[in-house]
Amino acid sequence: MRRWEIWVGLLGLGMLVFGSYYGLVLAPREQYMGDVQRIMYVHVPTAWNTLLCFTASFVGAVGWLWTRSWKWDHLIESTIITGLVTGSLLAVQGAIWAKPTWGVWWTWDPRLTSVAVMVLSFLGILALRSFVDDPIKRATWSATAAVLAWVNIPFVYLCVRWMASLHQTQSTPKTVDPAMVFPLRVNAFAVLFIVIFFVATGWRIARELRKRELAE
Amino acid sequence: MSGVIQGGWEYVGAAYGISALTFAMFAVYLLVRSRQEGVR
Amino acid sequence: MNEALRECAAMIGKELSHLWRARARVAGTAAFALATLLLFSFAGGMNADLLRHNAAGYLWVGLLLASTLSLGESFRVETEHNALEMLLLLPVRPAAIFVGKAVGNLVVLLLVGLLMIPLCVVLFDAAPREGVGKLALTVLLGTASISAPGTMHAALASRARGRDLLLPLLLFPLVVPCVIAAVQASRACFTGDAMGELSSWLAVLVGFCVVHWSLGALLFERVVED
Repeated sequence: MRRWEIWVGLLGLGMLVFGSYYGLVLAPREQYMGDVQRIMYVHVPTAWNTLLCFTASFVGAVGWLWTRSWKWDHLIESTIITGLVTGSLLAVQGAIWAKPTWGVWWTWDPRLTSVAVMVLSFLGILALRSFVDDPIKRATWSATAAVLAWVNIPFVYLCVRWMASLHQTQSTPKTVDPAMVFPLRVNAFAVLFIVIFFVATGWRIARELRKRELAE
Repeated sequence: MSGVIQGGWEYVGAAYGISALTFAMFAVYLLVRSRQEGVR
Repeated sequence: MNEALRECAAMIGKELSHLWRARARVAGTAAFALATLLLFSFAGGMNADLLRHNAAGYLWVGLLLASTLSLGESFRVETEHNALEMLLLLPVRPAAIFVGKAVGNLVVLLLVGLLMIPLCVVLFDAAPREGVGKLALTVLLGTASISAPGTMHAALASRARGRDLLLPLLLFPLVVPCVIAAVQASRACFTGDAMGELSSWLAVLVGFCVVHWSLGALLFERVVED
């Protein structure tokens, strides 16, 4: 089927509108954080899908190094760009959440900090891709760098968490009500479908660009 | 943490607004780009 | 296995003899690192308590900045004389070339790091209260953690456009965990290990080293092949 991802994206859009309406209007107010907690219904799905995106880059990297099939390189390119967009959005959402909750725009929360480091690592790989002209070298080198960057994520998280635990303890109150889980789940799949649309479209663009490059 | 955080709807609005704007702009960028590159 | 070790030893020997000939490079890197320490003390606003508390951070940020120079240099020589291609013609496995290069970079960083410690003591009044041995071990593990991913990315960046820009861009986010661990461990060495955290941080560094040295040995072939 031609351009199936557009329909997936539209489905995601519809679900996002419904899930956000449910989360903003119908879901109960959280007992400690008040209405600010409603940011969660878009924030947590963005977080899951950003991690998923960079994991897909890692899969693409291993795939390219293993098989040398161009489809994996297209996947690396499109997932890195998509992951950078959702990851930057994630950091901004985190800052917007932190301000009313803890009174500052930035906290050295392990998750927020790990996301910032992760976005920076993959930004470096995007820069690497633009600085290498030979498509095969570009694919191999960015795949290698993506493997290193992905393997590093747990190290970053662990180190920031241990370091922060020595200085301050920060609790994120969590009370789980079924009426809170439902919109969260809807939005998680909504953002997933939208991200699939992004990655598939980026994949097609990458394939077109490579086709032209390799023909030269 | 003392008591419930009152209000804060402006933060909720900002978070949802920025998210919607980001998704919309990236979708438009990708669609324009794929048309430019002649993606079928 | 024995053969692999022999090849590694041969490549390490080659790198070290190279280093001896390029000792001006090592001295230059050391001078750079010492200059950054001096600059950090101005940034710290001459507050003695603050400087003592931040000494570990200055040590590692200075060392990291210096590492981008020495890592970049270590491959510049190879690319300028097409020596990397010559190395690949040698009957050794690429993993051995990686180990040689990474050990060479480790030795440079270790020397610079050990040189910086006495200066930290003098400038920041940061005496190694937990003993010089533990601090030296921290510097060894920390520089080993920087040199493995550093060697990989220097090999990439040295053959791309904008290599001087690319190396720190790729390396800095990657070494965040080892900077955190090394700074916390060094701080424990400087100010006393009251909470008994030193050994956990050193364990993190060991884990980081194991992962990144293995990945380097595994993937280096793909980076240098044509």
